Amino acid sequence: MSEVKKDVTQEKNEEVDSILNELEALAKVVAPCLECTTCASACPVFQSDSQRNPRRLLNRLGRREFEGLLDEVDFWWCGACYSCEAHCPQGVPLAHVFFRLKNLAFHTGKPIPKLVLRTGETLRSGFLIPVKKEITEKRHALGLPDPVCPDTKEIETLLDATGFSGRIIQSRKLD
Amino acid sequence: MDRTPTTRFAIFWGCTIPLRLPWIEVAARKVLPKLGIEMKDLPFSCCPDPIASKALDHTTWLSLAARNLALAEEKKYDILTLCSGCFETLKIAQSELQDKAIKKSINDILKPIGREYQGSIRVFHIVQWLYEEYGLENLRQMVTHPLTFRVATHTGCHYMRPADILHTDDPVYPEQLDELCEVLGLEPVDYPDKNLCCGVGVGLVDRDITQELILRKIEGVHRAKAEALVAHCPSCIQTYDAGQMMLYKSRTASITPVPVFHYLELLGLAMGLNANAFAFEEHRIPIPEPAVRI
Repeated sequence: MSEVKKDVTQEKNEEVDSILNELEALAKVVAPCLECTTCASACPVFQSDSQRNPRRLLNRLGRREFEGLLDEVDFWWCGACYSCEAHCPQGVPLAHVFFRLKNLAFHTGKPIPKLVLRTGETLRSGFLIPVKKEITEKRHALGLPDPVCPDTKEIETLLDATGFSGRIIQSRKLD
Repeated sequence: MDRTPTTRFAIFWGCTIPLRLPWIEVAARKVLPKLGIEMKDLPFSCCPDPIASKALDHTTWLSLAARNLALAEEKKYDILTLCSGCFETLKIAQSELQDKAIKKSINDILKPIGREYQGSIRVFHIVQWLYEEYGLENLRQMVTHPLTFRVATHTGCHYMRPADILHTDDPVYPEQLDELCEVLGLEPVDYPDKNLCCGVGVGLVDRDITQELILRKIEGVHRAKAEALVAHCPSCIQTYDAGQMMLYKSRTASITPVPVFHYLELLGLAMGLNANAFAFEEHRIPIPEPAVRI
């Protein structure tokens, strides 16, 4: 019994180490940031809601304030338009960094925005939009053939092999 | 210089075009063969999308993209896509899979389904193909019925960024779509917020921001006195077409909706195809008759 407990603790410690390592690697990626605010000016989300400031999140990472960083929801507001990256005078790959934070949040069981989680659930069918009878009929009415669908067994095999299916179930429980 | 463009393609339709906006597929199936494109359908899955799917598990995202690429490789087809999201995913995946260690680990995942990614094919976006492969001069020669109205073009983020991987238009001041419209006789206007993101990505967490971005975009289009918006990314088109209608019907904001064309519809009309060849009735914002009268 104590052996099992030890294993679980050890596994947990390894997981924490690996998250810290990844955050440390990201801190190095954002190190060239000069805090010039160009990214925020170029961000369409920040232009609408000044609470969602990509620079603030970046700087927190750069200062290695890792505590609670993955609970910070701002990175989910990044719509991946890459406008910040196109404008950044230091070539900091901001959208890439935000993707890594989203990935880490998913991997560590943080709550995932509903529509993002739904996308993950739907992926199992092969498409992000279900192939319903209505759309097939609509396509026929427009003179289009049936949609060509992938073999869902192949997709399911891949999603199971990467552990994706299991993680989606865990995230759904949190939802 | 005369160069024969690549014309034999597996068409990567993605999810949104065939299952949400099939009127774009109608236009493509009418117009692309007239440009000499041989179209093959393959059982591709979702690319997967470069916003939500990519936000979850990167390895899964890359594996599914590699499967799609492997499928085209097996049949020896280059890929032509009409969706900017699919384009971005497949191009980024190809770029990442150049790393031998990553390629090996992804191929280990693909092994149980009997597929292997090689890295042997090219991926084109339709706008990139028209601009770089087919060429403006060849396109000009196809125009028999020039169109003469003012349009505001919207290139969309995922066609041109990240620029160091996609290598298409300028990532901050895109011009290709304007030039492609000019060839058809159209008058592309300069307008405020021309390069503004449609907001579909942030819409996953905050629909209010998407609506604000739609309103900003449409206000700019009106200020430049353009009669229509021209786009090619299915997500942008859906955001502007259905999004404007939602704003209009809900009366939460004052908006005079602007019709949204897919570029291939305008190209087809300029090539002399009858308006009946398209599914203009499927647009949420009605297409004004004079615009499509030949």
